[in-house]
Amino acid sequence: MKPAAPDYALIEQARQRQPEAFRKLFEIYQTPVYNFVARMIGQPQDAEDVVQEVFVKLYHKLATLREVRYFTTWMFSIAKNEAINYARKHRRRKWQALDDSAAHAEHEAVPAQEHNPERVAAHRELDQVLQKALEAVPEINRAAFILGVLEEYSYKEVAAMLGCSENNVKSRVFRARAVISEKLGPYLKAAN
Amino acid sequence: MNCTEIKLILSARLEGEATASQWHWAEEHMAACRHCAQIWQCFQSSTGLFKTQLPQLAPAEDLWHKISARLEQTQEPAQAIRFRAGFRDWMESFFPQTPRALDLVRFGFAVLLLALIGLPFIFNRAPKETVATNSAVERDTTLVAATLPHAPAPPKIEKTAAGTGLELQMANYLEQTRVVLLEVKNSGGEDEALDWHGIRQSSQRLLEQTVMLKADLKQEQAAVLQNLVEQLELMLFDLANVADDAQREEVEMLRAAIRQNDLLIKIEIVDLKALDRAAESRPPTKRRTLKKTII
Repeated sequence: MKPAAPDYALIEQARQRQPEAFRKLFEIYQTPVYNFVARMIGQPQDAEDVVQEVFVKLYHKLATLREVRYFTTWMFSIAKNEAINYARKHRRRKWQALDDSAAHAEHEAVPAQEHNPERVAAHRELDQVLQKALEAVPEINRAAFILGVLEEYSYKEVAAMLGCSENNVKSRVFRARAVISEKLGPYLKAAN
Repeated sequence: MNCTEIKLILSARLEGEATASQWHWAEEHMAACRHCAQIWQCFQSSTGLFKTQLPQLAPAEDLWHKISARLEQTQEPAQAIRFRAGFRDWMESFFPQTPRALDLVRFGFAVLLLALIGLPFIFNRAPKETVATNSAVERDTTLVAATLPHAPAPPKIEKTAAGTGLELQMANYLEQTRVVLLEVKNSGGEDEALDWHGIRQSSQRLLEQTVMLKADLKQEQAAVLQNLVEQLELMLFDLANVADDAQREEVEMLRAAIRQNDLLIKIEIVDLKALDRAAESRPPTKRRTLKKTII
């Protein structure tokens, strides 16, 4: 989920290498960055390593950021690059279903009162189906889809993060959506 | 609008990125196109599933501790940070109105550094020069062979690292001249017409080279080679001035001159290594003068 509007004063303080300010920034952005990376690489445990890299890089390069208003864009572009680098290095590894992520889940889509075993199993199966559909999307289109659709950034913001035009983002999201719809087609028909 | 364009609009619509007019076109299109209407439903359902069913993940609670531990390990010394900040402030005091001034100074330093690194390469181009001469040799030899298609293929010039520029030039000149002379000498049949246009062109080009070569050979004190070049120059001069409708007697005279002066044999037996030996026996200052002449 897209975080609230960035606190420019806080970013400026972090740029001046104030540890407390950087920690606050981390607290604000850790969840969206972690979710983005986890969806990109499909491995929640490894996503933590990638997120570590992202924040260490952010800390060291923050002084080079000229305009604080581009902080979010810049941060996600670093996260995207790190995630793609990781995915390319570990391409041979199988995409694991996010079964283990139950422990990490902040909230479950299934309401607490409906937590019966069958319901939970069905929900996990759906998670797997969604993850596999996301896996089928090429990395660069996946990044556009996660940022534009799941993280709800505008196409303009996504364009800045991915270093491309808005029309390109539109096209990438469409391609991702087409692949996902195709993969989810049988599931959607069965559900209907 | 075709289906592909409509699908792009449908996809953008779900993020609120499609304009009202675009959506109007899409609705009109979907009313007539069942396929696009199905796609729209599919997009809506799949996006809905992602937004509602995919759990929001939370990182482990100790993630910050791991990151802060790494930051401490890779912490830049406080002195360095202070120096950088001080330098930046100092630069900004010179250019207070231009925040990009620091970049300009860095760029300036980078250009200066590159210039300092590049200067020795620019002024010490001896190896590159030899390579360039080699390619010129190949190009010219190929040109002569192309101009005179009936001429035998010239033997490949042996290019050695030790070979001087003048040696290669000389070898190239002799090969080209040999090709031209052979063409004239071997054409003897009644109905075999010589390509005088090609021969004239090649001879004129070789005559141009002769002027430079003679000067260089004189400087190198290579008397034998200089003498040979002068003999070839006379022959090439005759060939460069032959008319298209040359009489049989005139051509016969040229062939006889080639034979009598043993020009082809002299080209075959000439020792170009003498140039190398002469160059080696000379002090290095003179050698540099020769290089400049070649350029």
